[in-house]
Amino acid sequence: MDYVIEINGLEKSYTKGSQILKGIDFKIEKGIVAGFIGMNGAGKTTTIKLMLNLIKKDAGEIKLFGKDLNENEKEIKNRIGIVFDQGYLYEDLKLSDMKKIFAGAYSNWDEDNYKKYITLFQLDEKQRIKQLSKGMKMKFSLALALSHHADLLIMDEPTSGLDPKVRNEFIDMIRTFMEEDGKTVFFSTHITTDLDKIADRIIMLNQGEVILNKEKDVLLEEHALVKGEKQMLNSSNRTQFISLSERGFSFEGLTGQKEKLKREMENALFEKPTIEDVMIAYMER
Amino acid sequence: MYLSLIRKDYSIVLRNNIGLLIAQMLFILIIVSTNLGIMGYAIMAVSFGWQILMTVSAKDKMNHSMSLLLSMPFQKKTIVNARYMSVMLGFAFVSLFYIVIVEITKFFHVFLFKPLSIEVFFLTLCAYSLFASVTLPLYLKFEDSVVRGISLFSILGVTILGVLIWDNTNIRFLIDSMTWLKEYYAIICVAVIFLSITISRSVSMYFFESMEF
Repeated sequence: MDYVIEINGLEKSYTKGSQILKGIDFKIEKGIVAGFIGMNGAGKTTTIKLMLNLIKKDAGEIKLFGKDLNENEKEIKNRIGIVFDQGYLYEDLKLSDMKKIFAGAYSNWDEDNYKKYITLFQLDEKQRIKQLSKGMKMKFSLALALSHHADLLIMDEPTSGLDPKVRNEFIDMIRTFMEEDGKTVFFSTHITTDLDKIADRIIMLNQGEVILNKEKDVLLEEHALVKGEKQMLNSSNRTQFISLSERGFSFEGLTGQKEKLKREMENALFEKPTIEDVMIAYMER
Repeated sequence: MYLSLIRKDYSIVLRNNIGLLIAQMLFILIIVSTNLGIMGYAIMAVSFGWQILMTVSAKDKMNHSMSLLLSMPFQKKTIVNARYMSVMLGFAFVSLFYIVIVEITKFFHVFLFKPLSIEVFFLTLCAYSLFASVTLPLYLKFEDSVVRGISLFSILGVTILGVLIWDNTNIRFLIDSMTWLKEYYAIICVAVIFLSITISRSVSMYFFESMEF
């Protein structure tokens, strides 16, 4: 299988004694949308910065497109599109000036493609970046990231702070990008409803460790949100819950042993969880 | 690649303020030239170089845009080299601006600004290169307020050093040195420019390689 991202034993600490990443491993196969989730401070942005060589790793190995990042940095970055949470764009520049920086950096910059996105997103190239709303800035970042035929799109919290309409447009753009063969998206977020719509694989990070790495459908199929009366609980079935909350006469919990619990708790209600349900349950564990 | 980075630096510096920038430069030029003659050209050049370094560095830091640049296929050495090119190009622009101003004022029979001689050009370029060589690595590494502090202390330090040297130097030695300098100024200037920029670039690269974004 072709892996676009291969991370092995990645460690990072900013100060002595506080390790942000504790030796994480994961692989992302070509042609999928991978959602990278976790609470604030879990280490998502640190991982992305390490993948872009913006910070130095303490240990571990990063391979992109099967090649070592340090040895093939320029070639690898030429094939990546980046969208950061805050955009990191030069606020005082006009859109056309910002575009010129990107066009000069990427060997396969496609001006026609760029014009297509600018028209689609109804952006005015004469405007200064600081005059754009957050949503428009993110659309512009996406237009820049997609205009050089990137094979891998890396996005760090791109939808945070966007209204639902813009978020949907953003997700639609990613869908369109994925229609082309061999494209891959790596997408960090804590807004998991976006991932419900688009992700193929979910990687969950908690306190610097990967605690889940599964195909989304398998993950949601394996787990169930169980609701019922408190009297159904006993010491044996309680252990089969990843998280359990009891309120008054009822309970609600997430289990990873759906079939076993179904046999034991015939009268309980079993619902398909959302990614958010799974994320919260694992974080609370 | 270099061109897009240099164009970016100048877009940031000029923005919509070309008129204001020219007015500022003219103001410095007129004030200093009235009192110190050709020194106006040198001070205007250094002011413009400082303006480039300060503005570009401030915008890089304010928007975290260096992270974006380094996420692109720009190599670190390309970004550092482009910054030096932008600053040195600034000197060329200022010199051209000065020559144009001299010619315009001469046309109107105003002789406030002295024509630019090759000696003055070389000596100013030398001073400009030294200034850029010291401040550019500092702007890459430190916050702007820290660089401002270091620059002020440096200016003070150089002044004190100058006074100490003056007090402890005999006139004969000074005259001999001046004569020697006058004879070989071009070679000395080229050597100083080359050495200062080379050492400064190495320091900048060292800082840049060790930094996290």
